[in-house]
Amino acid sequence: MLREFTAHRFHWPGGLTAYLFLLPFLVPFALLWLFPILQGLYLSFTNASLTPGQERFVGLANYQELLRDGVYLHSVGNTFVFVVENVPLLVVGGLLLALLTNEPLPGRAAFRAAFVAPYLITGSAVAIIGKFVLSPDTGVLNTWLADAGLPGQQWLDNPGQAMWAVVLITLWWRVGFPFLVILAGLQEIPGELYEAAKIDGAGAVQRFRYVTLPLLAPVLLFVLIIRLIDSFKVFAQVFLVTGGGPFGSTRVMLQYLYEAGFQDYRTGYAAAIGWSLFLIILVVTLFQLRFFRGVERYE
Amino acid sequence: MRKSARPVWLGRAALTLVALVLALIWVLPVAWVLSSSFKPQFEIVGPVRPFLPLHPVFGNWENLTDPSGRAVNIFVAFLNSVIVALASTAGALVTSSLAAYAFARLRFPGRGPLFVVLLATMMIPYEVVLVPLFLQFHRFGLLNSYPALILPHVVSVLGIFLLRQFMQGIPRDLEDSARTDGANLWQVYWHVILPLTKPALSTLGVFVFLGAWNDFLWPLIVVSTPDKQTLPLALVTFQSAYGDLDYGTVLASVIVAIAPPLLFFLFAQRLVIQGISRTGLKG
Repeated sequence: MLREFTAHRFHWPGGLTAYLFLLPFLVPFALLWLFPILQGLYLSFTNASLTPGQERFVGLANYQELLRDGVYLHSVGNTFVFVVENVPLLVVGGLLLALLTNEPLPGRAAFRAAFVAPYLITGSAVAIIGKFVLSPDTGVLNTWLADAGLPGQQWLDNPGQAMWAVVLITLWWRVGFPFLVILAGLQEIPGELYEAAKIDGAGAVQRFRYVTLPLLAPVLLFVLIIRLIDSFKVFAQVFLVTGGGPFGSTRVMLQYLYEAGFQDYRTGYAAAIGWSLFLIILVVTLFQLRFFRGVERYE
Repeated sequence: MRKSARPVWLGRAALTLVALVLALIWVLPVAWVLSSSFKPQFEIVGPVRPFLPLHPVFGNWENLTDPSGRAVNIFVAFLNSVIVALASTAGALVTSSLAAYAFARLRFPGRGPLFVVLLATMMIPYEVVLVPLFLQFHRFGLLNSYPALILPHVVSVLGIFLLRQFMQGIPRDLEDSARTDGANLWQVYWHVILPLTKPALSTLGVFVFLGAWNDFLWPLIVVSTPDKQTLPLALVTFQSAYGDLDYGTVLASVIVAIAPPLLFFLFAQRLVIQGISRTGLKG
């Protein structure tokens, strides 16, 4: 990608006038993105609190404390639980819905709209709706279970179930994105390939296995990575549905960052939590790219 | 081959049924909230919970329009959200398209290194800079203000990449002929490039608008008075103020908050769907 900047085959206009075009972006970029990134990195090596100018350099102390902090480690574990439960469900769910509505069914435009619509709902509304459906007091779901003769569930008050409740709410809310991206990928697969496979006697399963899946692989990988990154940053729906409870069983990393930074005012420590989150995302993403390196070649 | 006619028909009917059931499940929670916003409290939390209100009431909605004694006015929050989302979108479109044009078409000193810096920072999620970003706005004395809510959404490195990619696909001849006719760079950008970049601009627009409209964590941190709350925040305040006694009012406020994007989606489905799926594809 960088080569294009070194090869000057064109006589391109520009020079310093180009900076007139760049300035409206560069000023906020420098002040609100680049500088905070660097300052955050610095703060993570200090014992800063919210009163500026008081901080002392403490080296790796914050990061060492993270490794000993049970609440932090618990939040890392919860975040991983959420990611592991949520990401496959979303990608597979999106794939199935995309395959389903890629068929020439009557009313499929309406079906597609239904699956995408929740994606446009703001997180705190999702939380209220989710609680409304799941909570034992108002919960519609338990009423139905009772009608069907099944025992009601304490979805949100049971440490074993609360995370699953959040995961299901997230599936309902976010599946529109993998669904749409995979659907767009499906529509780009030329119909002749399926015809050819049919003539060769391939059944539906074989066509999926040998035509759809390999051609869709890059799209699936992309969706997987995006969903993975997004899932590590889970916050609003968990914070608002369960508040991190019961017994901290759903407190995720961003919630702990929020509590450390803006309730306990431990700015430096919160910055370290933020960078540890970035580090985890980076490692997982790189690992995944490496793991699926063969897949990308299909393009 | 001969016997395939009936299974295809049957299979399609079965798939339609599956899709229909799933679509109903997806729509049901919102439909339930909507119908419950017209129910009296005892039908919402009582032992009998019908889908349609048995005793329809409008009190929940009247509560919304009468803000007496309450700190949060859902319509003020609505207005705040509209201002923040529109200003963020406009700001991001202007700054990203200008910069994308420079990266796509202009040569200037420092172009390579600058591009590398953008690439490197694009990976970093904004949640990671939450604390220093807060300090930055504190330094500027801009906490609890519209600029604090808007400006972080204006900086869109992703937007630059998206638009730059698109602009590079525009044939150069158009600009060359405009240049020969004596147009300056600004005129080329405004009259030639921008009109041709519209599809990518609308994609980015949808993306930024939804991001700003739905943001929860950042407003939670920078807003300290009710008059600056955006909808996601106001809903939460609303719920803690009303939740136990007036569930219907909370549900009505939810409808107010989610209706505009959903209605926009219904009327501009293709635009939104392209906006979401294109950010997924390369470019």
